Amino acid sequence: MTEIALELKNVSKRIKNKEIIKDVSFQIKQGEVFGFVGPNGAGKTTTIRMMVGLMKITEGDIRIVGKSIQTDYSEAIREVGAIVENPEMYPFLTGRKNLEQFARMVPGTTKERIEEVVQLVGLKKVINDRVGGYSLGMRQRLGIAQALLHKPSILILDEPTNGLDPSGMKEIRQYIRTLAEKENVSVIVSSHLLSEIELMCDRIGVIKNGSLIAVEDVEKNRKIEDSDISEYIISVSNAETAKAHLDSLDESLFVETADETILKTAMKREQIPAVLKELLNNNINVYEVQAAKGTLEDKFFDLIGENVIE
Amino acid sequence: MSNLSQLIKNEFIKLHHYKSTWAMYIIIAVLLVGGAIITNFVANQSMIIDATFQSELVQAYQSVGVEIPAYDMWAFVADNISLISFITIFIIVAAAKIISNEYKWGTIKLLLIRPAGRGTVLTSKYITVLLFAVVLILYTIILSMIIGLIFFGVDAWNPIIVDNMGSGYTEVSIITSIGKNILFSLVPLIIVATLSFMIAILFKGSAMAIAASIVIFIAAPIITMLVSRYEIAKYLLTAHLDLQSIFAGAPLIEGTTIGFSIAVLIVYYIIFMIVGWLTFKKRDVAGN
Repeated sequence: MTEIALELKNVSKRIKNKEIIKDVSFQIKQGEVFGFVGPNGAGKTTTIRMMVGLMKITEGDIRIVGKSIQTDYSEAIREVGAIVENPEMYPFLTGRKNLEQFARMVPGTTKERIEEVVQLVGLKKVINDRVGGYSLGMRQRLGIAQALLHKPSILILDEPTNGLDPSGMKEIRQYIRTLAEKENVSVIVSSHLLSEIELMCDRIGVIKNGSLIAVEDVEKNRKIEDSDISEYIISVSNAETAKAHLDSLDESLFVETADETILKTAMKREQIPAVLKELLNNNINVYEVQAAKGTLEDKFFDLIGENVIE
Repeated sequence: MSNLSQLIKNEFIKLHHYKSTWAMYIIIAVLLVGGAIITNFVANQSMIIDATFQSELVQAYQSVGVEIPAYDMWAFVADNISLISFITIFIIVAAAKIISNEYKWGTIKLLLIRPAGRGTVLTSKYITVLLFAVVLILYTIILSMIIGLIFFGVDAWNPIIVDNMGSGYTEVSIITSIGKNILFSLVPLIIVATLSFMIAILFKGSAMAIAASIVIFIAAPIITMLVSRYEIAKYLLTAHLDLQSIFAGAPLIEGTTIGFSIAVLIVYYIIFMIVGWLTFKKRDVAGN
């Protein structure tokens, strides 16, 4: 099978001439946990609604295990389990009766599978109670149970830890990791809390005002955080030539050019003088050297601005 | 197809978890028992018809030469076919709620992200509404047979009565007469249920759907009367709901034939279905 579990290709959404999602593209590999972060109203839920076919895509396409959600809806949606916004269930039915409802909607879902899923999310004790009396945490779990019933390849969870207490959050996080690692399920988790999502995701996409503005590799960031290497931003007269000189000086510097005058490097503090000497000796003017903020959270704030986060 | 039957099963389970659904069964039972008691003690038991109010029918019996039958189980069943008007109102409510509740609870999202597809989901809901109407009508008939048997007994298992079968009064078996009345009551039931279903889809809520459909169902003669001086009145839905009167030769608008009425009803029906289905299939499901 294909390696890519889900792919967004230049997806745009317009409602009444207002562009809500602008040209968003990304891919999610099988078994990967992908975080989808952005302030409220940035377009997370709209994007998720398009992934599951609740909203029409204005432009572009979304493919789930290679099948288009627009043209192969039934085939594509079969591979998806989702909670969109709140985990809403029929309040007058018991947990089990709710799951039986959803089991009937996808052919081939057995009674044994229901028991398996109930066991998995730890709802055994209350499964025969009416959902109307469930706490939010119990409903989240039932929501996840419902999403997993038909053994999907992709699990889409919109704000899954919303309203959970810290131990509940931790449990869901561990649970999501287990799913991804053991069952090779890809998981998309959205949240407006970066700290939440950072703990369980492999990669994080940051969305703001309908555009995907960055995709960060959590693992790479963690490595930088754990060692004495930091990221430095150097402002120079000519970034291209500077990069060429630095690459020849030391390959482990990870030199990147951000634009014509900005360089990014990853290095130890002790390496700074040598780097500057190299640049100045080659007639490249250096105006500023600045340590980039280390944690992902700081980057996130840089990207979207602290004050807009709720 | 098996998927559709599974969805219908789901809808029936949900429907029968509402208290209001059980209230419908209980109300019908209470009305039947109450009606039987009143008929038993108050009304004139000797005749199926009241000579003072239905002299025309009495004359019809005399001219055809059939003896006016005594009031027995069959007469009781025939009387209670009028409860289908009541059932129609229940079905209007059920048709609106089966749509609006999913939006109210937010479960519409979980319902639509399944392989079945939106058209199948909607079809299962619509079929459930119609099946529920059939269940309620059968329930009414069977219950009124039992109650009628207890209160009034039975003279003959298929007595001959006199009824207007479209071309004046003739002899017919009572079962045929009851069947005819049920068919004529089913037509407005299906039309207004479909209307309620469509409005509930459009507004994602039940209030407007229930109100508008009940008004059209109950006030049809008044509405038709109010606009009857305009030419357009004959194309109004309300002028054609009472097929029984049109069949018996007494339409609300002079000169309406049964064929024309059926054609108008079919056109309305198709419009309701297309508007409802297209809206449901095309619309983005967002927010609450």
